[in-house]
Amino acid sequence: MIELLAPAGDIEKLKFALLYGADAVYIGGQNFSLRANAKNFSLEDIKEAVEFAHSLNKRVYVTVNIVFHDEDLSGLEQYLKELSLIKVDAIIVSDFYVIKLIEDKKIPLEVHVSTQASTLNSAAAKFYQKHGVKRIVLAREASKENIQKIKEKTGLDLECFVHGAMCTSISGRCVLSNSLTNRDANRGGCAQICRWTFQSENKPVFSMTSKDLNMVAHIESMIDIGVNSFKVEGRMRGIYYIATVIISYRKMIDKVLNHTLTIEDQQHYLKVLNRVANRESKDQFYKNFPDETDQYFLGREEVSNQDFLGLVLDYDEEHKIALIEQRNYFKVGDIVEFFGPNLEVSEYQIQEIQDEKGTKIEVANHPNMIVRLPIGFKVQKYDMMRIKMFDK
Amino acid sequence: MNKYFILAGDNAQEKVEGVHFLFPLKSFCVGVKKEYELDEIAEGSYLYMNRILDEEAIENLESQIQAIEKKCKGIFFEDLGVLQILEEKNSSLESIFMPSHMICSKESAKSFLKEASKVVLSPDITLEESKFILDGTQNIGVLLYGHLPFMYSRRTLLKNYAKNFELEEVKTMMIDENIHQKRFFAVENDYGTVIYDSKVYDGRELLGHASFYVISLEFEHIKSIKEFLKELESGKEIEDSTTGFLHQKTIYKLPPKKGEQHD
Repeated sequence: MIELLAPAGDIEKLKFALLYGADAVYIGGQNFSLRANAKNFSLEDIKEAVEFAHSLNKRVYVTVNIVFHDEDLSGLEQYLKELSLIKVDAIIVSDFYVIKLIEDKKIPLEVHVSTQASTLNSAAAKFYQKHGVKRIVLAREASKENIQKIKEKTGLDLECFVHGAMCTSISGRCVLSNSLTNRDANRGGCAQICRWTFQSENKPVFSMTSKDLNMVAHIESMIDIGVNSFKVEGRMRGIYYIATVIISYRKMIDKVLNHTLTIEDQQHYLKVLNRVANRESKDQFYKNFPDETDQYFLGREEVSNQDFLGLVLDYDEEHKIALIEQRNYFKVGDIVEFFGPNLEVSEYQIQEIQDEKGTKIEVANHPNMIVRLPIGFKVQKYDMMRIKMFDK
Repeated sequence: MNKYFILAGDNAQEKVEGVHFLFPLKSFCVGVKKEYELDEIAEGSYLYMNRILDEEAIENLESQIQAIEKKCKGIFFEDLGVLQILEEKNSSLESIFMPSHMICSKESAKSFLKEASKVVLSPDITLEESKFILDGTQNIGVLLYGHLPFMYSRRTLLKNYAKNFELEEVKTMMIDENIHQKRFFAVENDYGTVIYDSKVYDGRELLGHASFYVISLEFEHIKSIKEFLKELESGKEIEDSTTGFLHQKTIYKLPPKKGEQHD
């Protein structure tokens, strides 16, 4: 089984992730999960998420991945039992106590060990395996050889990050945030200190920021060595980012499985992914050991991406008019693209914009305003409109 | 009498009752000043392995385990793979699990104590939390003295920095964060970089509560271990020291901004 695993910070993002091609999503509850300051999911939300995912024959994993202090333990067992009743497909855990609790109390939950546990060798993987763990989310520092040997020696399901932000540290092995801001990195409060600037005497000021991860060039190799789940980082990211990244990896994975992925395809998707990101990305530890070219040392401009122009809310097939929620400025005459779960990228020049009442307007310039666009081809709810990127 | 496990660094390892020395084993450590080949290590000692081990390292450990058993009493380790290897080899070595940041609750400590001979608490917790875990529980140790490791990266951050700015490569470097005026130092080898608090950690408020105490003199110069321990136990103030998180409780959910409701 090859799985594309997407992040989802809320129920809306979850729906987009699954509709755009993820096989599974990972989400955080309102307690016990890193990204403590994301919106996250109540138990009711998790139930809705699971029902939605299962209706599509897809899966939901819930992160229970903080390093627990005693004050955090209250309600944990009950929470795990409730997750089991809701029928989440697995939980992602870093604290060994949670694994023991599930084992000892025989709570019927599949357990995946989080990347926060920094697993880089088969012996550590076997340690977890004997306690009933089904899958290991490997440390992002895993090389191809490491992954291959862990798979060969354990047969465990292996999950590897393929896209998104990297910690400069080995995940879980950093408390710079605790030290400088009092925010506990291993309980979801990380203030990303590695992106701050430092100085040593009168030497040049520097940051330790890692460039992001992308594994576009290695998907086939990862499938060959037995990686089961291809994980995208970014529970705090918006729907446009999620949709773009997920649909790109979906198409690449499918093409690998159909033996039709070409170098041109890889180059195209890399361009798409680079455009939606706000940092450069590299393949980091998989093939070579990262060097100075895998980091940022000085402040960099993170330009906000304004490619996402609108979200399709509905389409009137009889009159061929799409109802669109505006996300960024566009005007009559602009050349745009539509894409979606069931829609290949389709170019379109905007001929006319109507406001909600049907009055013609020249520009859509108010955030979230509802407009109507006459479009000759069929679009659907959840499709997206973006700036025309590049020819393929 | 207190039981100490000491990383001696460059300092002379004089025999003192109640003291065991920890030897950082070459190619199994990061952020240390001095590493040892197995044949350089005194009999009856304890090994120290604070690296996150990759497959090559775990295979290396597996091949050496019999030789280690002949010479050493036990291993202090960060990576759970070590524990698994000891179990698979049915080893008589004491296993002391000492993760930098992963044991912050009594339940976690107790869970690991079912697997390992001893555990060392994370120094990321408060005095009150530490006492709650330690009191009434055997075989749990704490860091008593040394520089707190704040970050462990697999990257060679100092080498990369030097290359990027065309500076001379160094293996240790002081680092200042100017907004909070905090100072750290970084120590690097081929296996990664560790960033430490520049102030030495003084955990003596925990004396009398733990089963054993770990002391790191890796970056300290002392005249004699015996004198050092005598001064440490006397309660004499330590210059430029910190109590780390003992009195600094961390948070992780930010309070709502004005006009914002967290649900």
